Amino acid sequence: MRRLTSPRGLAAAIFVALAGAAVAQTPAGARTQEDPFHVFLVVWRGETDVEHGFRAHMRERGIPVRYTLRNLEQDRGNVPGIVAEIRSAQPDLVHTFGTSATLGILGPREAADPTAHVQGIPGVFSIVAYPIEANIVESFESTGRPVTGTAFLPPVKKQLDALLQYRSVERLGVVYNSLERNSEINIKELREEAAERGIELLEGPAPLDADGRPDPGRLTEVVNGLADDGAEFLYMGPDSFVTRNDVRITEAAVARGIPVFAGTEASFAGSQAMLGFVSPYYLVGKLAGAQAERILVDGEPPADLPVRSLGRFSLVIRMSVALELGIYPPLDLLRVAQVVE
Amino acid sequence: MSAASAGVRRGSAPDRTPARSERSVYRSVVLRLAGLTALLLILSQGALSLLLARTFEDTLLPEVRRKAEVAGELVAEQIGYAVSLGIPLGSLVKMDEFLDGVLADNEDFTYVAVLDLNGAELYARGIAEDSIRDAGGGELVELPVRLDDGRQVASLQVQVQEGTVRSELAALRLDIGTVLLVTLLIGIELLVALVVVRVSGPIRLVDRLLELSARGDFGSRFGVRHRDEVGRFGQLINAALHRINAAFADLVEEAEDAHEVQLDRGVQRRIRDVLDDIRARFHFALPGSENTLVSRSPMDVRIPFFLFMLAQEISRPFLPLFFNDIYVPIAGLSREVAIGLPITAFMAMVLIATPMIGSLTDRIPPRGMFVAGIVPSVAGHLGTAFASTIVEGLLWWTLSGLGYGIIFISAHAYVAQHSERSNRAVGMSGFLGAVFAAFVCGPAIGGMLAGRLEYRNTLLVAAALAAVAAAAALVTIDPGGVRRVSRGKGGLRGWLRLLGHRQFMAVTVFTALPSKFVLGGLFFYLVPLYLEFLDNTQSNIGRVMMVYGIACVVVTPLVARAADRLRRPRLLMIAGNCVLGVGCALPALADATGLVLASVALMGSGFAIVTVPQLAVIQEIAQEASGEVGISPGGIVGMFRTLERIGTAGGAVVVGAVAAATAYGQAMLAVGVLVLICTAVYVVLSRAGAPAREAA
Repeated sequence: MRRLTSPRGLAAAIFVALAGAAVAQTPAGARTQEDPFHVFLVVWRGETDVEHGFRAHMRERGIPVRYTLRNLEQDRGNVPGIVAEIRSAQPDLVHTFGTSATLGILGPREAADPTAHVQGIPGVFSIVAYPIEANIVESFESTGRPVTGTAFLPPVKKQLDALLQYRSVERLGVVYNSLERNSEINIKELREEAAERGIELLEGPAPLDADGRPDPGRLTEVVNGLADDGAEFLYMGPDSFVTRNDVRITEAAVARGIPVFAGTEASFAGSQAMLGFVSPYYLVGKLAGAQAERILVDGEPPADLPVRSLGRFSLVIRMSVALELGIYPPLDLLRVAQVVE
Repeated sequence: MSAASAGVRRGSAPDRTPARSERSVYRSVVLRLAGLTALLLILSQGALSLLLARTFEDTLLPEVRRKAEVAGELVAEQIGYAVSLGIPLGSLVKMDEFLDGVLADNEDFTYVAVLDLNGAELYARGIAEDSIRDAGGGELVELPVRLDDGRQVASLQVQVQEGTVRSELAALRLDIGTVLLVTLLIGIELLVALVVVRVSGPIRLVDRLLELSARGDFGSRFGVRHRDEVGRFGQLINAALHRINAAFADLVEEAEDAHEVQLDRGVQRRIRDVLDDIRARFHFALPGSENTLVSRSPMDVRIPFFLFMLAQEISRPFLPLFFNDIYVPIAGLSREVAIGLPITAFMAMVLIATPMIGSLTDRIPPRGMFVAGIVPSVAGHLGTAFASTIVEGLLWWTLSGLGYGIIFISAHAYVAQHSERSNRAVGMSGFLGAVFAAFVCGPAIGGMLAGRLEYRNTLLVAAALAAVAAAAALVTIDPGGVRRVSRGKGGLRGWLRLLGHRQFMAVTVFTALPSKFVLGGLFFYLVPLYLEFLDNTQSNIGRVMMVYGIACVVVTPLVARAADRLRRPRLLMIAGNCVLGVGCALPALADATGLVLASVALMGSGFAIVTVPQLAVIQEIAQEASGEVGISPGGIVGMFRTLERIGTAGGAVVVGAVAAATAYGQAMLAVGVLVLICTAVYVVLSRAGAPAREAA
């Protein structure tokens, strides 16, 4: 049960407040406002709450930072230019958003051509669904290179728990891009978890067009097919293609009376998804800021810093969709959920 | 209750004062003191109890209600929030789980419901209002369910159970009542003993001294033991007597001087005649060599013995439960039998040790024996308290059985030594009174302590109390006194002849053995287990068991009077065993604490009804059979005691075996039926054996 006041929580809050005040008064490292740290923020589609959170953390901690923001504009072709710029600027730290940006700028472990990526500058990544599988780090505990980051994906098991707490289902539909490595890993986990709970998983891979690329135009068709098969809930995982087309997918589902679950904030935020169990990007950004602080201020080698993940995730409910579908959240869930219109 | 007798240490004067006069001396004092004590205790405890109740009503109940309102408001807020979001009031999802969660989070909520504005129940969980009302009252709190804009859309009803708080308070009141009763009993017990030892006993001694003086006997003095008012009074009398004896000695001296110097033989003769005449009419002692009269009473042993029995009875309501806690499997024994084993071993120890200890009373004075007996008793209690397995508990508890045997016999011997034939029965009833008072107080105190201190610590308290009993014995009991008791030495053949004696065996096997079997098997063993099985608190178990003692205390004098009037002891014995049998069988009707309570009350009554006439019957049989089998009557009574203890010893293990195979209630039924069958057999045997004797 939710507690309104707990003595321990209060004590922790006071402790954090005092600690923050203490740090704010001490000069951060040797840097001052005149000679701040230099951080490169590389984004994939534009600045997000992750970067806002990162900046907020530095500000709250009184760490002077000069930022350079660079946008890849969803095009890997822009990577070499930014890498070259970073090499010449020699900033104190590089922060990357997403798997593609991270692989492009920081590169994989033991890259085929190390010169194609930034080297010798500490890197922190965020919003990489599967950093181990993407060969960015060796393990969460030990990255094996001067790079660390944040994990943001709630375990599939917990996602399903949240979904089933809202509504028990027998058939769960999932739309995904079979060409994405992230989706491949995610779908595998989803199959195992669903089987364990006796849930039938209805898979809807996005059809490919003539060029062998997933075809957004046929997503409505896929959703309708899942609806015809009796899907009671639709699942959207950490899939770039699905996230790009989340509005189309969710609107098709709602039209058929099916609620949609989103596992990432990106796919929940602008769509008609009814339920989300996500890491809020703002908090992920602050966590990345904390990692950066340890590297910049405390002087810890990034290789010694494990990849960190938020201990708690947010349950979000889009009430307008719930009301439209007539599928109402249970009161126990409402107590802990964040409700959006 | 009891009376004291004055023993004369050197020389003896005829005992002219009947026990009755002394009883009336202390009775009026004790009655007033006891009445005053009782009144004060009842007034103060009653006031305290009333105060508690009022505090509860005034402050606790509104507090319970306020807590319900706060917790209820949180729930109402959540429902209001959901409805504000647009969820129709009638379509709230998983409300049963939600409301169940509310009930689980608030233990004192018994019922929670959501009603629409027309008062129609939409969702409800828990037990509805009326049945709760019946079960002891509950408060119904109704709270509005409001939207964000303050509009009321529904109401939330919460039923708060005050029953738990109330029943806890009721239990506390019962505890207070029990404490009141126990303090009263202990207070009166100590008062009686104190008054006899320090007031009425010495006053009786003064009475006798004055009587002797009135008869012209100035040869005795008052044995002052205490420096109190009575003691000073005695000293004054001693001084007066001393002056008289000194004056007579002076007179004799002067007379002898006069006798020596007088030449006239006539005058000499006259002087001698006068002296002889005075010597014939009065009795003087040489100053300083007066006969010292000391007040000696069987009552002296009552305080230490009562304290010891109290220590022994404290563990009564939880002993089998404790052994159940430290139970480890013992090869081939069921759990029930294993738990009963220490209780059986304890009594078996008493049984085996009794003859050996009995022979020691010829050589060691009772006080020494009493104090020596405390050592194994305290060690046994301590060892049991620290035992980690039932095997250790068994060994230590058996050791404490040795202590029990020694103390029981030494106290018995002391009473026998210090009471004369005329008041032996009164002395013995005082002895029994201490046992019964302990039967009442021990389980009650033990239950309350065990509920608060746990079993092991309560055993330590019992050990400490036993040690206090030893200290009391050192203070109150006369250190000397060994008396040869004529013991029946009939040889093996005599004992075998006794075992073949029809009347003796009929009484022993079919009346005494079953009643002791009930004591050992049901009261010592099964009743605590049964009561715990029925979810009673330790305090309650102690209270229920206390009823056994109360029944004994109440019924025993009634039976004694009835026995005097009826003069048909056998009939009483049969009636007692019938009560006992029916009492045992009672819980077979249903598993209910009330029935066990009734059963315990009937067991105590039955036991009391059987015990009083039994002694008369067995003494009568002993007198008759003595010549026949060649054993003294005392030896036969001793044999009877030994045989009936087999019943006490065997009870726990046998009943344990029965309980293992059936249920508690059925085990009690089985014992009850056994007692009734034995009684029927006894009726048949005694009719066939001696129809004429009963009529006479």
